[in-house]
Amino acid sequence: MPALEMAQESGKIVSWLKKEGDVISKGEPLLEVETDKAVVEVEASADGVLAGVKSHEGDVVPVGVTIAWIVAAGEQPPAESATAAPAARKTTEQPASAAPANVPTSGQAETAGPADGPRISPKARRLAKERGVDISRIRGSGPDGTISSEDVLAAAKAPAVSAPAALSSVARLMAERTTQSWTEVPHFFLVRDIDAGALLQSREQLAPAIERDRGVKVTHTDLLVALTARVLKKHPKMNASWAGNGIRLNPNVNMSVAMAVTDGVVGAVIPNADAASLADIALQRRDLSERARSGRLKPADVTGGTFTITNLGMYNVDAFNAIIAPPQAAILAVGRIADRVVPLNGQPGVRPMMTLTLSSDHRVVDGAQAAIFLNDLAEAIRAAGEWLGEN
Amino acid sequence: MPETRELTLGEAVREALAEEMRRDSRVFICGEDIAEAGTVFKVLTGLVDEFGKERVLDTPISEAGFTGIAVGAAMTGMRPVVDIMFGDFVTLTMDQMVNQAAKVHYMSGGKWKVPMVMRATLGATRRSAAQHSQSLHAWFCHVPGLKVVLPSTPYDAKGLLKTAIRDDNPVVFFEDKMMYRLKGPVPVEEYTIPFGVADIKRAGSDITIVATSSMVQVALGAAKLLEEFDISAEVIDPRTVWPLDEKTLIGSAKKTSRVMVVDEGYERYGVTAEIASVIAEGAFYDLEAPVKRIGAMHVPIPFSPPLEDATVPTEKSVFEAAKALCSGGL
Amino acid sequence: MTTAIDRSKTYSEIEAEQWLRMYRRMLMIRVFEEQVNDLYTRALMPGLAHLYIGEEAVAVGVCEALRQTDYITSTHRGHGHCLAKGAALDRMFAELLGKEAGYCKGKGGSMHIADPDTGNLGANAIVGGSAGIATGAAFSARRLKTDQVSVCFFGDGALGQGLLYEVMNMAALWKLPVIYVCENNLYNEYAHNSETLAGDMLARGSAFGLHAENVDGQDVRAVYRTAREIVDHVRQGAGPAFLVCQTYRFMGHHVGDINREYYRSKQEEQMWKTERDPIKVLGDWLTAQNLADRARFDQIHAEVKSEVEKAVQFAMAAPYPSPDKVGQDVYA
Repeated sequence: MPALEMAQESGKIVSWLKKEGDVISKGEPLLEVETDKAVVEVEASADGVLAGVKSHEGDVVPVGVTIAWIVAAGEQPPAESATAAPAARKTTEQPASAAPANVPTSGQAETAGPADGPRISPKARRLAKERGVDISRIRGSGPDGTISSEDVLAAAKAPAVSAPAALSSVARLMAERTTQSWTEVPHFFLVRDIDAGALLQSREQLAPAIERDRGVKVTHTDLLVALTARVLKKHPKMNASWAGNGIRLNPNVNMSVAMAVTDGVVGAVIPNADAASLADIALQRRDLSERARSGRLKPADVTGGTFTITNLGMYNVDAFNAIIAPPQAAILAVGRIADRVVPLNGQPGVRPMMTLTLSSDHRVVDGAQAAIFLNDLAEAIRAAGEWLGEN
Repeated sequence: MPETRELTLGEAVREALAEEMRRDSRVFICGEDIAEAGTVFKVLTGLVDEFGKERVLDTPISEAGFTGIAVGAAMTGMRPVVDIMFGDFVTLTMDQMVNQAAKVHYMSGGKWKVPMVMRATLGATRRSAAQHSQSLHAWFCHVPGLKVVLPSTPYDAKGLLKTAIRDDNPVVFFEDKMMYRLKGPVPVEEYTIPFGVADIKRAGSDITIVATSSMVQVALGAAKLLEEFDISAEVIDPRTVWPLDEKTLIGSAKKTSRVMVVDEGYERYGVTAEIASVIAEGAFYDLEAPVKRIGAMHVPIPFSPPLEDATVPTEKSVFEAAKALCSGGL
Repeated sequence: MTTAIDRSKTYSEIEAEQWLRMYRRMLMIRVFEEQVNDLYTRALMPGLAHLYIGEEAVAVGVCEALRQTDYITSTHRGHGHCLAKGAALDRMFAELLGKEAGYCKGKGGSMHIADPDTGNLGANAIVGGSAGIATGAAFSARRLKTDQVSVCFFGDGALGQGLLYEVMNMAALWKLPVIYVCENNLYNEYAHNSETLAGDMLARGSAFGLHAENVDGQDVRAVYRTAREIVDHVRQGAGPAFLVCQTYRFMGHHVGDINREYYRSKQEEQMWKTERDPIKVLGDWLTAQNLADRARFDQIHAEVKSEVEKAVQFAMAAPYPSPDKVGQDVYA
C-alpha cells in the first residue's frame, strides 16, 4: 500500500484495474485507492505481471504493507506473500471496537470505515455479498439509513451507483467529506468587503512580465494565494490543523486551491506558497487546474494542504460561505470583484470591491484570532503591490 | 371436499375421545369431576352415559396421584387420558410427568412404554387470577420424552387428540379455555392429524406470524388489520410444539424474511424463545429484521380485568408489532 | 416364586427346598452387593451404589410369594428386589457398569433396573416416586382382569411423600390389587426416622382402609408367610394392603457413607449384623431343624460365589454402548 499523503496510515482499495496474471507496464494505472483525501489511481511501479494479490476491494490496508506483487513473466511471488498479511480489515465489517484509538496525525478520522456504520439486515448483507454490491455505497431506506434487502437489490440493478469509476468516487468522497465537515466542524464565518483596486493594479503591473517571461497568465486567485500565504506565515493558528484531540501547527504553508472537476471539487495544493514567487504560483496553479479538468491529478497534488482558497468570482457570485476541508482550520471564500458605490471620504464613490468570507474551525481558532488574520489579509490586499512588488 | 359440519372446539375434543374409546377398550379418561359433571367446562358431558363410570373415572382431588396411576396403567396395557382441570395444576403432576412418564422408556432401555395423554387447559382473560390462568406448556417442551400439542381449531383439536391417544408416548395436550366455544368445520369422516406438521392458517408474503393455540385467532385478526396497510401476513400454527415442524417455519421465514412468534405462555424462556431461535438459526441470512416475540407478560396473571388484559398478546399488540417490524427498522 | 407341588416329596422336603431356595437367593443378593461394593471402591463402577445388605429377607420373602407375571416397583436401593424377582446376575452387573448388555442398555444404571420379563416396572430414584406406577399397574390388572398383583417396594423415607397417600386413597377406593411394602430400615439416608416420622407407621395404611400389617423383616419365613397371605387376599380382590417390614441397612446410605457415627453407633450396627442377619437367622433355623447341614451350606456358598464371579466377568468384558445410541429410546 503506497503512502500517498502526509501522515497517512492506511488506504482503502476501491478497485483493482488489473487482474492477477495481467501483463502490466510501468506507469499504467493499476488500482484505485481511497485515502482520507481522495480516490487516486496508483500507477504500476514496474513492468511485469500482476501476481499474489492479497488485498481486495474494500480492504483497508496499512501503508507499507504488500498488497500484490509485480513479478517477471513465469516468476512466482515470494512465499512470504502467503503469510505476511498484516492487519488488513474489511471496513464494511469493522466492529466499533476496531476503530483506532489514536487518530491519525493528519487529523482525519476514519472516514473510510465509520465505526458505527449504517445497520444492515442479515438478508441484505448476504444479497450484497452474492451480487457484489458494496454496501458502503448504499444509502438505506430504513430508519437511520438501515439497509434492507430491497435497497441492495435496487443498488444491484443500478450499476452506475456501484461502479467504482474514479469520477463518481470523487463525487461520493466530496459528499462524505463535506457532510462530515459540516456536521462535525464548528464553523463560524467572518465577512469583509475589501477595495480590490490595489489588487487589480498589482495584476496590471506584474502580469505582463510574467506572461512574457514564463508564459502563464496571472489570475486574481494567484495574487490572493500569494498574499494569503504570506499573511498566514504570521498567523500559524490559521494554518493549523485540528488533530482530534488538539491543535497541530503545520510547519509549511501549503495553499490548497479549490478546483472544479467533472464530478465535484478537489483541493489542489501549491506547497510552500508563502515562499513561492507569484510566477511560480501561477504556473503551478495552471498546471493543477489543467490536470484537474482532464482527471489526471496525482495523489500528491491533492494532499497536504493547510489552508484553502475557493473563488467563485468568475461565476459572478458576490459572496458565499465555504465548507472547511478538515483537518484544515479555515477556508477563504472569494467573491467577484465588481464596482460598487461606497463612501469615499464622506462622499459616495465607485470602487472595485470584493467580499471575502472566512470560514474557521472554532476548535482551532477563535473569532478574534480569525478577525485579526482577516484584517491583516485585507491590509495586505490593500497594499498588494508592496507585498508582491519584488516579484 | 369431505363433508363437514360445524362443531365447537369442546365438541371436537369430546368427539375425538368418544371415537377413540369406542375404537380401543384400553382407552379411559380420569380426572376431577369428569363423569356426571362432564368437567367444569362441560367438555366431557355425556361421555359417562356411553362409557360408564369405569372408563370416565372421577378421581379424588389428587393430581399427582391419578397422574402417577395413569403412568403405571399406561405401562401395563391401558391408554389413559388424564384430565387436568386447570393447566395451573400441572405443577402438582410434574414429578410424575417429568421424572416418570417422560423417562420410563429411556431409562428402561426402550422396554417400557407410556402411551398416555394429559389434557390440560391454558389461557388467561377468564378473570380467574394467578392460579387458574397460566399457560405452562413450555415446561413440558423442555423435557425430552414428552410431546406437546396445542390445537387452535376444532378440526385440529379432534385430529390431533386422536393421534395423541394412539401415540405410544406421553403426550401433553393443551386446550385453551377461551376456545371451547370456538366453532369450525369438522369432517364427518374419521381422520387424524400427524404430529410435527405445521399448518399454514393464512398464506402471506411480507411477514410470518407463528402463533399457537388461541394466539392463532389473534394472529389472524392482526393479519386482517395489516392488510389495510398493504402488509401481507402469513400465519403459521405449528400445532405441535414438540415435535416441531422446523422445516415449514424456516421455509416461511425465508420466504417473507420477517418473523414474529406469538404464544400465550411466558415470553421469557418460553415457546416463543425456542421458535425464534430455531428460525434465527435456520433462516438468519434470509432475515430482514430480528425475530420478534410476543408472549405473556412476565407477571403472575392478575385478577382485575384491565390488569389482566394488559398481560396477554392481543390483535392490536400483534398488529402493531408486525407493522413496526415491516417498517424497515432493525 | 411359587412352585408346583411335587407329590413325590414329603411336606418337609418341599418346605426345605423352598427355604433353601430363599436362602440361596438371599445369599446371592448379599454376594452380589459385596461384589458391587468391591467394584465401586475399586472405581470400576460409575455413579452411586446403594447397597441392600441386611434387608435381603424382605425382597426375597415378598417375591417368593409372587408370580413371575406380578408387578413390582423398586427403589434406589433396588438390586435386591430385582434379583429376588428373577433378574439375571450378568445383565444386572452389566447395567451397573453401564454396558450395552445391561437390562437397560446402560441407560438406567444401578438405580433404574427395569425388566418386563420379570414384571419389574423399574427401580425409581425418586423416593416414593413409583407409588403411582405400582398403583397404576394394579389398576390395569383389575381393568384387564389379569389376576396380577402389584407390589410397591419403598423405604420408610418414602412415608414422607404425599403421593403415597394419594394413591393409597385411590387404591382403597377402587379396590386395586396393590401391596405397599415399606422396608423400615430406620434411616432416611442419614437421619433416624424418629426425627422424620410422626405418629403411627402402620396407621398410615389402615387410615385409608388398607389391610395393614407389621412383620419382622429379618426373618424371611415370617416375611414370606405374611406376604403369601396378603398376596392371596389381594389377588382375590380384597383391596390393597400395607406391609411394614422391620429391617436394617447394614451398610451406609451409599458406598461412600463410611463414617456413620454421627447418626448411628457401631454397637447398633454390630448387634444387627451378629444377631439379626437374615441369612444367618434362616441358616440357624435350617440347621436346628436338620433341613440342611454344613456341607449343603458350603455347597450353596460356593455355587453362588462362582455364579456371581462369572457374572462380573461377563459384565467387565461386555462392551459399552456406542455413543450413537444416546438418542435412541427417547421416544417409542
